[in-house]
Amino acid sequence: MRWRVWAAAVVFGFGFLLWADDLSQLEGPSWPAPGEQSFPEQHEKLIQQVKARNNQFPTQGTIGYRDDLCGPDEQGRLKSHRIYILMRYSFAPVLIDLRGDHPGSLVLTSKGIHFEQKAQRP
Amino acid sequence: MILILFALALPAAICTAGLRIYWPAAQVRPMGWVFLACLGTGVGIGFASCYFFLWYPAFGHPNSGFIVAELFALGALATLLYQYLKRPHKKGQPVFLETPPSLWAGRLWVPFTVLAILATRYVWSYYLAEPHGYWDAYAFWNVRARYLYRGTETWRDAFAAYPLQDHPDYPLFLPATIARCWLYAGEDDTLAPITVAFLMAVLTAGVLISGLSLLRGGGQGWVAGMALIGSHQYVENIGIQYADVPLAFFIVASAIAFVFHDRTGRSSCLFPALAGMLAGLAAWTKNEGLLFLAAIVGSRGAVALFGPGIRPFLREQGWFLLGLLPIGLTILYFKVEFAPPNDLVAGQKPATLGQIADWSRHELILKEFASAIWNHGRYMLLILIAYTVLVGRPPVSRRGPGIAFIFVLLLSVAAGYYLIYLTTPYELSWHLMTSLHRLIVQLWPLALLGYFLAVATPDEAGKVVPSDPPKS
Repeated sequence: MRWRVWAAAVVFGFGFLLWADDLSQLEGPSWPAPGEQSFPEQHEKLIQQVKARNNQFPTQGTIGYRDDLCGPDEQGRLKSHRIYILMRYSFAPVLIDLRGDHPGSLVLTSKGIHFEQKAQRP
Repeated sequence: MILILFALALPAAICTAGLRIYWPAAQVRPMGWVFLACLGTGVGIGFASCYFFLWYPAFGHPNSGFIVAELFALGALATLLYQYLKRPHKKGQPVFLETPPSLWAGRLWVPFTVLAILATRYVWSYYLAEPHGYWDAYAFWNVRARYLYRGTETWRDAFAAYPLQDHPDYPLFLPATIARCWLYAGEDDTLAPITVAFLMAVLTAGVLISGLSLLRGGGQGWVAGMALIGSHQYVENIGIQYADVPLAFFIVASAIAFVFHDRTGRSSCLFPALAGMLAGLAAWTKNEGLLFLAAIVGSRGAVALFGPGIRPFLREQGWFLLGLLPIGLTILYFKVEFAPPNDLVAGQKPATLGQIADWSRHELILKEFASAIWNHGRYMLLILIAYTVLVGRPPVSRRGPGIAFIFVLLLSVAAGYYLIYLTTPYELSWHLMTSLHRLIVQLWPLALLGYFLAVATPDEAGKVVPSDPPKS
């Protein structure tokens, strides 16, 4: 009964058209604009600049982290979490600790990120 | 890129050659070679990730010494395998249907290739836009690979349980494989993670297509391959560099090894041992793999009660455990020595009992499960139902064992996921929203395996293959 096979092929063909449309809808909306870098790439570049400005920046071990930028509300906490995850990714293998006291700390402010040694704190 | 491919190809080639020794019948068909290569590659790079991780506590941070040791060990193994392969061997029993596909069914690779090219184009475009992957990729998989690769004395920080450190207890197949590729490449670029992600997707398609081609013939493998890629969620998951597609490979490969075991009269030790290795590697990929490990043993037991009986079950599980042993010990060592407590387990409280009795949670989970299955690939469920109505079931003489096992396994794993959501310490709707669609991706190739074992092939539907004679 060849017509069944042809009908099944038409069904699959219809599914293929829907699939192609779904894939095209995935492309673009949340992607960086053409020519622009993704958020993690921008972050990686920023972190290299922070490291370059601070010749005492460690290459291993644990440093502290303080977020003076994002607010305590729900949106602020989500933004802070995302930035922390990217910091951890970019600074690896240096571990970033939200708790505790460390000789050096990353500080996030409205003016950017800087690395602060204990002795330098106001 | 060449060095990354070399790092992946080395253990893959050795394992494929090893499998070839135990299953010489595979050489009779091209698809037999593809099947062996897919399984061998998965097992090979899985084992490589295990001994790469074990090198750290034994000898410290891997460097060029690891590469020399690995080349030497694999070279010695390759020499032994070559000497063994040179001798004449019995071909062994083939396990596939002797009827080759018809001319037109044999050309179904053409539409599959078109879909594969479009899917690859999407994955490559996504990589160019987001080379570091999406959230989970840089929140835990690739960041842990960085700790392993970059941290010379502080590699244990990869498992540090700091606040907001997501899932430090997750096993290490993906991070260790990526870090090993970086060691060979000499730098931690973004090519290694996407290469591993794409390779695992290719292996999944390969094992599904070749396995079904051997078991069912008649173009069935290519149709299953099209259905696999036909899920846009599945294709999306490849590009974002998550661990769901690698887990899906180990799940379907382990299941298909047992189906082959059933089709060979349950006499071989190769297939249960392979199933054990692959199930172990599933557990080495994500914690959901531990659930799968329990489910596959339970499913085999349940099916044995109504079928072959307890003695064949115990015999096959003996080989299964032997295959699982090296990877199981690695997982145990990792969990005991390095991994902090799992967040879902550690978060259990006396209130969990109240959660189990809360009917609104059951209602929400069932509703979300139904919605996730319905929305997986647009109208995919309807398309598969229509396909079933049109092609029907195969003739009785061409139905083989293994289908019931696949469906019991799927239900067992789904039941396990259901229980996890019921008892989750997280807010339920958040947990469902952020993870359920990916659990469907993990089980998608397995579901297709069961489905395409159960329905007629294009040749059977087109009556190219003779149907059963009418009963007199």
